[in-house]
Amino acid sequence: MFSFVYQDESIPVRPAPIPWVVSDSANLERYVINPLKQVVSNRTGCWLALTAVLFVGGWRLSIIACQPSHWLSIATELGSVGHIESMHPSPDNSALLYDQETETGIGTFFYSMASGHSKLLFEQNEAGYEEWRARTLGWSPDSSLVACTVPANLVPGMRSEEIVLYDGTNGDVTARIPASEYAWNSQFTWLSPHAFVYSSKDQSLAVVEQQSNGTWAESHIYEQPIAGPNWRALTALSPQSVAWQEDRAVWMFDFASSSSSKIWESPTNTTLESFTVTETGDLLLRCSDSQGQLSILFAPSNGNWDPKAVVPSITRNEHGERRAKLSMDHGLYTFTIENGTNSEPTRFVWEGMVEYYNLVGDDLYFTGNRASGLPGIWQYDLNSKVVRCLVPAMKGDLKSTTIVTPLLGTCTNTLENQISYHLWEPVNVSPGKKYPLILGQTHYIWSSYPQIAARDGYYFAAADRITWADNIDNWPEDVLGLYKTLVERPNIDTNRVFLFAFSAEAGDANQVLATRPDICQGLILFVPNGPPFLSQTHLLKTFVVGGMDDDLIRPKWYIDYLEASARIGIPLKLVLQDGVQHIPRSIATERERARQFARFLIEN
Amino acid sequence: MHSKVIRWFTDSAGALLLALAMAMFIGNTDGSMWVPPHDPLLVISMPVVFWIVGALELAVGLVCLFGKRAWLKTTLTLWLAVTFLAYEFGLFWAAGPRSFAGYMGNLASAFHVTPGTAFWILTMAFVYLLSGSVVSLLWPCVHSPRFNSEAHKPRE
Repeated sequence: MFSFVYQDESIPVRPAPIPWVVSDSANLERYVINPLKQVVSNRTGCWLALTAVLFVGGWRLSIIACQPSHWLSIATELGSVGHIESMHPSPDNSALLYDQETETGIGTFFYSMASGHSKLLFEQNEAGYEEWRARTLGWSPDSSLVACTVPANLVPGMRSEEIVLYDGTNGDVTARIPASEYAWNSQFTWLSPHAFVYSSKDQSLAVVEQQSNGTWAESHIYEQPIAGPNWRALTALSPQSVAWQEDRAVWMFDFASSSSSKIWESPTNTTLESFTVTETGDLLLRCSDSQGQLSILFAPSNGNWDPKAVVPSITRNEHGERRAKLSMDHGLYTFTIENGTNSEPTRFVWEGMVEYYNLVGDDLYFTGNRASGLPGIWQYDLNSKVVRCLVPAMKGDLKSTTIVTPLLGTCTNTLENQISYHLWEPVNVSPGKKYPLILGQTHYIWSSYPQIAARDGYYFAAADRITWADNIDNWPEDVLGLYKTLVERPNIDTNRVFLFAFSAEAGDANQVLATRPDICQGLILFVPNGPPFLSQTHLLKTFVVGGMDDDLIRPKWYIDYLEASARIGIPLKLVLQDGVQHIPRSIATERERARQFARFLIEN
Repeated sequence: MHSKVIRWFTDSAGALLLALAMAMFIGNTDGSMWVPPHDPLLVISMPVVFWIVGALELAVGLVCLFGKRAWLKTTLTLWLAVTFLAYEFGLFWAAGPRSFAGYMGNLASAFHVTPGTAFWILTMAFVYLLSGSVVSLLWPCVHSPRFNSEAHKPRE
């Protein structure tokens, strides 16, 4: 019988045999039930055990209870917005091809303006994704067909590509043309609605034509390289010739004579930025001088391409060229659209974010979002001035949250230049309460991270960049200027400031840490390819996300960084995602990043 | 008096060890995808270290609360405390004075304390277990009639 009296070593106790096998009910009672009864009857022990469990469990539950409600479901939903990668409107504005993240990879979709519906044409998984193997090559001049390159075989080491022609009205497959010579550096252009040309990796050409019976087949192959390896922008000059840019020169290849010739070369102190072929077959050459001053030259064809005939294009848009230019004016994206006349360009101000844009006829297409909404593909009609969303990036509305609209502001960076920024405030700011701040300078496009930060009680501020590369060199100066402006706000907790950097921005964040180590206590880095920050031992929290298949940063670098950080006492929260490269290419990856980002925020 | 003090200590040690074990298990299973650092001494992942330490704490804690032999309870507690503190010293020696914060991982974030605080809570707990178990084991020797008779034997 069990005794409540405390038993010490002076009382002999016979050791119980270990019940390896409970063979019958007697043994079950002897080895399991009786000891359990003894444990249960030790009330002091039970109460203490229960107290310990309740104390620790209660502590943990109180932390969970103090967290923002539904933080994980909000991050999950916001992270599930599939990023639109690119778009290709048809020349007659009847359809659109676009690439968007799917659950497992990148899908290419066909959107019909008439029906308003999208159709998935093909999809490439994120694991092993190679951008050049699945991309839109271009619409035929009459919009009847659109060509894409599609991997015919995804087995590693067994690559084979094919060019697939889709019907321009409904997206059905019209033809599959094996293109075994198609490579990552291949060029493609339509010659006519019934012929196109593509190059192999060594700049040889294959012409594919529609046969009299309707099938498509390679009609001519030019096996000798027609250009150097630095060629780009292959464009049809006529159904019998193509042109391309090679360094400072424009070249052409004539199919009839099978010969290449240089059309024009810019002076040594001038850079040829790009060229286009007008509807009449002439060339417009965009050049910039050593000061970056842009000029447009006009090269009439006249059959012989005389360099002496190249003249500056003096009057505005005299050749009826249509083009759109994106700029940012006081934090607002502004399109300047030249629509083929000499009239004043049309200006269209968009109160939201923009990533890709394309002007086709009288319609401007762009990907982006209103400041208070989700992203999508938008169409702006130059005539009616009406803008409408063609393809929302997410079907339906958000269920667990709403979009936080950023505030627009301007400040001065440390170079004394005025910059614009956007600030996402935490929802339901209390007057006397301090909130942490996340600072960065980023391309002003849709991202779930500012939304998640605002929902989790953080200020998120980003100095604006119009494109990824534009103004990235001013990252440290802009961020320091922004910090100086924002710390004057009474609600910002200057003891909890984080720097937010993506990829190459990590090196700039390191510069900020080097010059002003006192301003920030934590780092949030996505695929950082900058140097490590291990000299900054004052850092308290670091969050790093990387991909195991990153072609720029090897996973070993992350692991070494993690171990080195731990040794000097910087707790590093590292997320390494399997099958993910430098740029995420699936909703699943984006969602998991968003969830881990939210977890980091609420735990800090 | 002696048994009551020892019993009070072993009961508190049991509760403390159960609490620490539970904290380590919660820290290891909070659902995050963080890649953990490797312990520089044992060259194993830190969650594995916490699983092992947590399991030992759980086992010793249950013995302390529900066991019958006082010497076994105090001896196990002493062994666990010495082992853990020796491990901490080794970590200090191998990775430097600031390293603890880097290895506290999810344990600190799960309970919303700084890694440094988590380290000091753990260290203080094991120092208490060490000192309590040492006192408990030495008490019978110090207060035994033989010890007292030897110690207080008048000089001739």
